[in-house]
Amino acid sequence: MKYTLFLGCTIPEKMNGYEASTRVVASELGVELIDLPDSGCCGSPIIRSIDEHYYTLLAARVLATAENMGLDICALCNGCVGSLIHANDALKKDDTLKEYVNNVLSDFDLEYKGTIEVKHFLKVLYEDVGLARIKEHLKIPFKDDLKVGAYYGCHMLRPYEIMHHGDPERPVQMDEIINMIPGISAGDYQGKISCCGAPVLSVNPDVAWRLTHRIISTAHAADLRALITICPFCSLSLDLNQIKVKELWNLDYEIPVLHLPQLMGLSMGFGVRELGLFENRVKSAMKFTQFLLKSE
Amino acid sequence: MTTEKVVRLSDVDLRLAEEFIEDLTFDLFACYQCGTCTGSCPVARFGGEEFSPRNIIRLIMMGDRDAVLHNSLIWLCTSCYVCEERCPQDVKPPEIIVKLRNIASKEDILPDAWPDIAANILTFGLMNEVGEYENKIRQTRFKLPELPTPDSDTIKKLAEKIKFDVLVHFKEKSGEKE
Repeated sequence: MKYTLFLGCTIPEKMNGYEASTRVVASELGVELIDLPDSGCCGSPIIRSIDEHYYTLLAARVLATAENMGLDICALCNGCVGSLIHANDALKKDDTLKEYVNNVLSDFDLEYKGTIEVKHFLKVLYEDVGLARIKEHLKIPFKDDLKVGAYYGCHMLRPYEIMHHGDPERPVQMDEIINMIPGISAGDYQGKISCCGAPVLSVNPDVAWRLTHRIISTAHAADLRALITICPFCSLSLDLNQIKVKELWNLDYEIPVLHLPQLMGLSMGFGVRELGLFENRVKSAMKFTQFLLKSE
Repeated sequence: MTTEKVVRLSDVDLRLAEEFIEDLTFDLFACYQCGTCTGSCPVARFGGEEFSPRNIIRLIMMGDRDAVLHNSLIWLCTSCYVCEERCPQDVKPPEIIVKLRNIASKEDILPDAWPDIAANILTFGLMNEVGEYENKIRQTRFKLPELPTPDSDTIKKLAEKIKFDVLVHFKEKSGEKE
């Protein structure tokens, strides 16, 4: 299993723990990730809102670079995955758009051919590695029966007709992976498929914080011990902005937020440093190591 | 947004819809105003603002161009696509909102922060700079490899080629001159 790894903008700037834990978990599972050279913007939902043509060109540039390597893209950010899959889908269906894009890209010695797929790391785990193989590597159990909430984020799942990744309303993939970890189970909560608010942070932060609060508060109401994310923007909303939400709503609790590969990595035997757990903003995330049942 | 307004049939002007309707892969006018979109919308339910995909679609059908474009509300859609999944008529409000925002940006209407975000992409190749400092943090604190250098040159030239830089006033903002 070999992919080219596309990191996007937010992960290398402020979610290094997500990247670090992904790299060690992927390597443990035999997934080879080769960095995409000439990295750069995925097209971005914000750019798409300003000018769809420029968005499509940016996405096509990334897709064409990966095509030259002959590898499918593995991305870790829901925004990147959504941008790249939308553009890939539109370019495969619309010859006029493809011609327009290739006309512009030809000046830069690039050509979009439509030969590769874009996958979120969760999809790689669930569909390509498979639950059975993942289970073999999740060896170290957690002490108590810890119930945590899988938070998928929107652009991983919807729109289904383009993403083709499980039920857009009742997703199970991450829940099933979490349930493979001994001592941990995934629980439901009302905010599970509700937007984290990140896309409107740059427009109206009050609205964004209200959406974030909805997820944090419903996770708390369902007695969840942590929220598990697979997108840097979801993590930014739920983890980094939880401080703001806690202050605004006077919350007397906090919910640690871990990236999925961090949680998996703990059960694989990796430490706080290797998984970048010290970076997580809600510091009780670090306490998860204390729940591990260490072998004698 | 004023949601109660008398619209005379003689005033209905469908030019706004005509500006993008041919680019849609679905029938905008199939919307029968059931409100499933607004009822499913996290911003409408929890965002604390009077945001409604249903109203936006109705205003397009009534041709109230000004109410649609010169209104802060079209920028509050988070593109979570729950409304699109649930629409019984296969209308796709997030796609309509992308079209409206593209029209608005040509008229110089954008959220204040967005031209700066676009300027970052044209300058650094990413929404934010990942330079020497960030790479040092990556290597020393996280033992991560250096990030492959973004091809900011191509990204900027692509923008210039289709005049995206002009659209977001890139040169004026960054003070660059030809």
